[in-house]
Amino acid sequence: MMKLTQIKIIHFGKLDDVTFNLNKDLTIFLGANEAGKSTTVAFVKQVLFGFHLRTNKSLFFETYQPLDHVSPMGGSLTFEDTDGTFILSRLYAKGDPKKGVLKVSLNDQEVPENVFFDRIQNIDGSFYTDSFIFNQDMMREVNGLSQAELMEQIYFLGASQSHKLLDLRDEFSSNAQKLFKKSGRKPIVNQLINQIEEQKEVLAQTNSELNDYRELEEKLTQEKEELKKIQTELVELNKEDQKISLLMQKLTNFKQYQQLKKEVQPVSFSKESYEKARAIQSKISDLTADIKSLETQLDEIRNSSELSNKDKIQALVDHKAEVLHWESESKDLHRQIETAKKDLKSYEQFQPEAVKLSKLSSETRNKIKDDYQALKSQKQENNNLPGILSLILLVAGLFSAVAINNLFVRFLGIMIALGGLGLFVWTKQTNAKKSQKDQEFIEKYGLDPNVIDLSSLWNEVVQIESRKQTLSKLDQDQAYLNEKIQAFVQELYPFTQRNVQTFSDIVNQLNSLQKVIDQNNLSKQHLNDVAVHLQEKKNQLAKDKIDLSNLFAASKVTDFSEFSEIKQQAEAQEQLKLKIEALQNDLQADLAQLEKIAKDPNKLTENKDQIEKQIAQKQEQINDLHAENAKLENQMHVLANSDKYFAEKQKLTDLETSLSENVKEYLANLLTSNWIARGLDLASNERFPKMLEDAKKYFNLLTGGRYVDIQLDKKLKVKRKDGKKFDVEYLSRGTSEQLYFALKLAFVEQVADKIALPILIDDAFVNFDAQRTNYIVKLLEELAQKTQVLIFTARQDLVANLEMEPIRIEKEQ
Amino acid sequence: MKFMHLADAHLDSPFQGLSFLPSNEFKNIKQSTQKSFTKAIDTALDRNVDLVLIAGDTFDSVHPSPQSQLFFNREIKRLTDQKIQVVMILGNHDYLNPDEMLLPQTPYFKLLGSNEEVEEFESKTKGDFSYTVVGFSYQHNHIETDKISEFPKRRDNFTIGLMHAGAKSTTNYQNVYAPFTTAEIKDLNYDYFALGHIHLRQTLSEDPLIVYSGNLQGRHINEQGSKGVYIDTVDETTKKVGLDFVETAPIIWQMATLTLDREISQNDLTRQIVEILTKQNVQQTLFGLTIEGAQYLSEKELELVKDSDYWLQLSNSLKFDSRLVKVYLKNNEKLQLKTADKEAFDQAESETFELDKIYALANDLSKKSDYVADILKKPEFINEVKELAQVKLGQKLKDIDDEVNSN
Repeated sequence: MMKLTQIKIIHFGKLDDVTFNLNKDLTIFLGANEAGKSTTVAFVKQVLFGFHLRTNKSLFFETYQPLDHVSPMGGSLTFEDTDGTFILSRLYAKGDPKKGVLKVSLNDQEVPENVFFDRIQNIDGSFYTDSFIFNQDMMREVNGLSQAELMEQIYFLGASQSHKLLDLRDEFSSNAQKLFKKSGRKPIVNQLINQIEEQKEVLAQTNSELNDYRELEEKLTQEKEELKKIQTELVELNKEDQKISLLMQKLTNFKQYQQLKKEVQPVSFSKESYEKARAIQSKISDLTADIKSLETQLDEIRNSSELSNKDKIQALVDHKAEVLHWESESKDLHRQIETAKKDLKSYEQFQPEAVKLSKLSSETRNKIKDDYQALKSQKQENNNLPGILSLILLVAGLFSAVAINNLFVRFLGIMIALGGLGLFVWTKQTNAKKSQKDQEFIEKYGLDPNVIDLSSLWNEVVQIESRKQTLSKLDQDQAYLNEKIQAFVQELYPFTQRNVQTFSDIVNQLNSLQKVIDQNNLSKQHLNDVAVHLQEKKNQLAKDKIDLSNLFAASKVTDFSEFSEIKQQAEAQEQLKLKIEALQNDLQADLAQLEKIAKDPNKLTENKDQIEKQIAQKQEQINDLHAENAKLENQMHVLANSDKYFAEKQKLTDLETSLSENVKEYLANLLTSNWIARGLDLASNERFPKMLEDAKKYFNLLTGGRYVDIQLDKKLKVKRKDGKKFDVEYLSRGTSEQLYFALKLAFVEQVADKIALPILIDDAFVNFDAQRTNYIVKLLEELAQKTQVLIFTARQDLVANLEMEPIRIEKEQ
Repeated sequence: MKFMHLADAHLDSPFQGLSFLPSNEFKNIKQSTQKSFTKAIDTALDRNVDLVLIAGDTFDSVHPSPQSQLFFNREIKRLTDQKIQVVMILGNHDYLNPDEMLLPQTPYFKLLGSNEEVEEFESKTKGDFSYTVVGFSYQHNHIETDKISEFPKRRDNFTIGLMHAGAKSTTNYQNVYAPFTTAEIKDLNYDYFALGHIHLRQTLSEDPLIVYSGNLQGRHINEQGSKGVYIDTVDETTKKVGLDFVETAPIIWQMATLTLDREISQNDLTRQIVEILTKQNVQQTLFGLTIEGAQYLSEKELELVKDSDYWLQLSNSLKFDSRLVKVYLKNNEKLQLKTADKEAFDQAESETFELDKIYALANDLSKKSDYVADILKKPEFINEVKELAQVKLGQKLKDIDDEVNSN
């Protein structure tokens, strides 16, 4: 093992031309502050790895600059091992690289640098500083210690490019961490695991598709059955409803039936008796009529036979011949009267003056005779011709004036008329004087003495007088006859009560009276017969009446009308019975029910209402069920065509596939990371695990057993004896320095076989109390057995504790 | 007699590693399980088989969607309508309560051993050839007991065993699917033993025939190659069975390998990948690609080959709508380290990659996720992890090396 045996400083910091010879195990430098202890430490490091000029930044040795005004700066280190002696001398002069110029010689032969540096695994300055130099500044960095750093440093001794491998290892590890964290949510694997759980839930729900389908199917079947049931019920209800409707119709009939039944009465009626009674009745009626007629007949006969004035009538009738004689006599008289009257009339016509005279009294007539005689004498000059002529002229003139068209003729007419008129007037005046005495005669007797021939007249008057007498005689006769006839008629009247005008009337009356008498005679003869007959009938009637009353009694009626009534009743009952029977036949099946219903007909209506309500309900149910069925079928259809289950399952599979891929990636990363770590472990001869073991041991030792474990993970933690774990920042300064020592010393111990460089401890125990110092001393003594240790201290007690002669570094004068 | 042996239809099954595909393409792919099943039924009808055996895992889970149940029902009805006998068992994925299934209600459909007990079903073909099917259904996801011992002696007629099970293995946790040994089944001396569960089509024994027909449609890159059913023709006198595989899967999965022995330009990389895939592309295929010598890929290329957009872009050059859907990287060279270090790293590799160490590393994860715990049990997953780690470190060390060399 290589040892640093000599430090030779030509110029370095405050040191100038100093040489230290070192023990191969433990060397202690004792010097006051600012004596150059730290400068010596810096010298060793900088000769090995190059000077740090002001511009070349380094965390630790900044203050130990080469003195560029002194030339040359630097010095040499002498290492010895079994192969010989290496001398590393590094000098810096102006113009040199800032690191200075290193010369390496082995057994006084200059050799390439790497002959030396290969032996220390080509570590760089910072590695050396970090691992081999202990000072106050470094100790404070204990918080910054990490597994990574320590591992990197330790693996550095194993595989080549170990730092890159470590980077790779960390990269893979980090990649793995990105994919999955034990208690994370964001990494994809964590997400996928959760998503798969969720998707399983979804699938579990979707799983029920078949169950749903079957449930729907079952429900559908049930509902279809239900539907069928309800439909059947509906049919029943409809039937029921119809039945009730029918019953309601029948109820009317039934009511009638009931009414009719109420009208039924027991009628005791014998048709035979009735017929018999009727026959008897009819017989009685006939008999009664017969009797009446007979009695009438009898009365009539009696009346006619009891003609009171029969004799008188007979007497009257006996006058018939006389009457007939009267008739002819009357006729004869009449004729004679007529003839006389005719004669008189013809006188009047032809001899009116005679008639006139006849009518005068005889004295008058005598006077007339006298007067006439007187007048006869004067009567000669009297002419009436001009008067008549004038009238004719007047008339003819007027006619021609009016009727003839010829003007001349008219004029002539008028002239003639005027002439006539004049003549007339003249005539008149002449006649007037002559007839004065005639006029007086006429006025006295109405006879124109100019006309009459009084003597002839007197004959005529005698004639007339005779005729008048005859007539008077005849009139007397006739009046006598009429008196007689009238008397007879008077006699006749009481019997006929009729006015008679003519003889024929009288004869007729007499004839009828004769007939009356004849009839009367006949009637009297007939009367007995009728009376007998009547009696017979009356007897029969009496018998029949008894029979009838017997029948009535038997039939308990008082009379026939009553019997008839009963008969009618009986017939009505018969009709009733027929009707009832017909109704009964009609209602028969429902009779019992109807009887019940009839007691409470409202109930039937209520029933019907209820049934109709039920029908409506059922109908609604059916509709609902139809709708429900359609819905179910639709749902089933949807399910039957659903690939949701497949989709969800596929989604799960996709997630699982993704998870599988990511897990593969995760595991591959993790494996690769572990593979590299393991490879480095193996390549580095498993120094790291060993180091950790040692560090624990040292820490335990340094803390007097108070701490039992060190956990090097991302963060450094320590475990106290009582099991409590602490982060490094919560440790006391002393304890944390002890931890640092333990780790670093363990590390150096592990790498000592590969990097045989001395450990430089520069006043690192300032803060250690006596007890701890004691521990560290023990540790250092132990460590020095394996690797070379240089201690730089100002503490005499430490030197004393180590029981050895120190190298004294004196302050420059 | 002719019968069809199908298994592991896994209707409703999701597909792994296709989430990056455009949705219409994915939709098409996801339909492939049903398409394959339909094709199987078509085949049964075309070949006029007497019997169809369904050896479990018809559905991917105990909660099949109504859609898949109705689909299954429809398809089976096509068989039973033609009076083709169907005998089905339930597997570890579809250990459904039969009461909760929409099963065809016909004598031509038989769910065998639905109480998880071995049951016999005897019937006759239309040609009056008598046969017996013996088997059981799962009612739990695991069956750890030896079910073969419960199987009865072979019958006088043509006897078929129907079982969903995995061969006994040394890894205990895997012995939960009615574990059996081929010798045990052979001892039964049935005329045919139709197995389901293992998705890789394989014949465990030629005489007597003990056969896995494999699943109907590959669903991820570990289910490669043609998938379909067996049509078994029985010589009715000798009772010898002739196997005829009929492919039904419309889409297959296939692995391809690109080996690099030097660094390669991105253009060349793309060209070579397309070339390699095209060579294997004879039908619609979902490709996985292994790049051996992945350490030769540049950092950029490495990113690229992991990028699904790049896969899609590559796939545009492929026929049959085939797609590259996965890339595996393999480092085929030892780490570039100094000899001494290499030894240390080799030792570190074997130490670090010890299964227990990996499990210890993944412990926190496994605790958090059953899924992770499960995949960690899969050796192929562990291998993928290792390979990836190797590629990662190899890649990095190459970079370090480059850096050193360039310095």
